Amino acid sequence: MLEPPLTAYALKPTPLTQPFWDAARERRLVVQHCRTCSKKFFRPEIACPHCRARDWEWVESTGKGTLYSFAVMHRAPSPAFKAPFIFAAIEMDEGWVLFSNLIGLEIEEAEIGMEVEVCFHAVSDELTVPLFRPARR
Amino acid sequence: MKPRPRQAAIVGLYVTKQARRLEGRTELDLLMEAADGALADAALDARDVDGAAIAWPGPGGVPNEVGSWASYFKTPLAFTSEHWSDCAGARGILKAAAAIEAGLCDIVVLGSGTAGQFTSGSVGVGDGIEFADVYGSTAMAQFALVMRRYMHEYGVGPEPFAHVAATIRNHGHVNPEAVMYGAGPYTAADVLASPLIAAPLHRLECALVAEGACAIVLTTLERARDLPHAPVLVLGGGMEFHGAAYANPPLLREMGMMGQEAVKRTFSAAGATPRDVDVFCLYDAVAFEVVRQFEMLGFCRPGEGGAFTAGDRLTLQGDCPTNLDGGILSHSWIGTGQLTLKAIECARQLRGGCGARQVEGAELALATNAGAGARHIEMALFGRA
Ligand SMILES: [Zn+2]
Repeated sequence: MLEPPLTAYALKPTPLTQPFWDAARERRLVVQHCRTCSKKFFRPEIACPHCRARDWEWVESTGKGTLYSFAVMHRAPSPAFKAPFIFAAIEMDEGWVLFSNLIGLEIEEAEIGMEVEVCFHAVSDELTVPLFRPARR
Repeated sequence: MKPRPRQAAIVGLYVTKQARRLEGRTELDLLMEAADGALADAALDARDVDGAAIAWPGPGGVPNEVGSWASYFKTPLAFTSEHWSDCAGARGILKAAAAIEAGLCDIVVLGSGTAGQFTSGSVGVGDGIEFADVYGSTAMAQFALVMRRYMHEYGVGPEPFAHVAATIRNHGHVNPEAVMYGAGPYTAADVLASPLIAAPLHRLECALVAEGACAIVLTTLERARDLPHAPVLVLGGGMEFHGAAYANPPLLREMGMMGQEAVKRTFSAAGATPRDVDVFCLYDAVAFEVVRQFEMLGFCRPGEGGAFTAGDRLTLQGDCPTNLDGGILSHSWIGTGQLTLKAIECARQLRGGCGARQVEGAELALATNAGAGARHIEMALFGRA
């Protein structure tokens, strides 16, 4: 059963990205929502990549998505990671995409298109990372 | 095609020894060897070089400030390229050529490499990409994302990519300059039997990391006519950037055919088509990208690149000789210098004299850098005068 791979990380957030990490520490997944075109976008940007508007707000995501693609990492990129782990691209039902790790399943069970949901891994007092696991029915 | 006024040409090139480790060498030491070597090849004097597009890692000068080369070339320099990626590969060459053609300078030395403790660092991921690093992102992992989605959507197995990896590695197998000279030969089965790195990628489908440097010299075609080697013209080029590299997930629907606009720009500038290309030096950090780029170039439809690259098509005997030096997979990966090595192999093939791997009568050669996983691509087309 795959577990959260990250054991330590010195996060260097910016004022733009801080709200995302603050929310994650409260076990909430947030995303920018454009008030002009009503679309969501990620990574954090000052201007909406869809319509260039700067009028946006952080909103809470449903946390539901599908596994768009994944790489099974048999070598840790640094000693801070426990291999093997799954590096994933998640496509959220709300139409935005992000990198994450897929946990809570065996490697062989990972499948493109499978439904996933957000969960959280507290790496340290400062850092909690949103991860994904198979969606519960 | 009629040469442009002040048409830029490659007139000198040099590749240092490439190896997994070059004991006792620093990056700057290697860069100076490469610059001097390329200038000697061009029969030009270092004190005439008024354009520097060559990394300055220090020690000495100010690290990462390319103007530091003024003391080694000409003072004052008339042109510098400041960023690491502007000192390498198609991107660096196109900008240096544009500077020459615009009259900003006359002779440019371009180069980069990596070694020892004064390295300017690895390419792409790992330099603090906030929403990727915490998940263990690597360049290989991001290419693997595109590759797996490609395999899923088109119902393609791992064999075609393993075949391309084996083909390119077998080119390096017989290139005495290649870091992996003598390793192999490999079959697709050997590639698939190698350990999984970032599945679906196997170790033998991924580039190796080595040390070394390389440099080229560019000047005008007019000046080139008085120099010893047949000039290699920079006929055209193109670039695409789809946001910061490795920062957002590369989606197949956006990246599958990424580069088509750059292809159009490159070939329309040269008045040629991809089918006119005699020598392909394609980005092969992973073998999958070579397959994808033949689709991007219009040789086949999306999903058919594996069938297109089957058999001996990418060998010297085939109709699309590709990465005959062994590419990044087998010849060498030296930081951004790997991008320049693509152009150097193009230039060597166009000059002739590549020995056993020479494409007879080669007139057009294409170099590509980066690809789908990186969400950017640069390419340049070279030809004989
Ligand atoms: Zn918007």
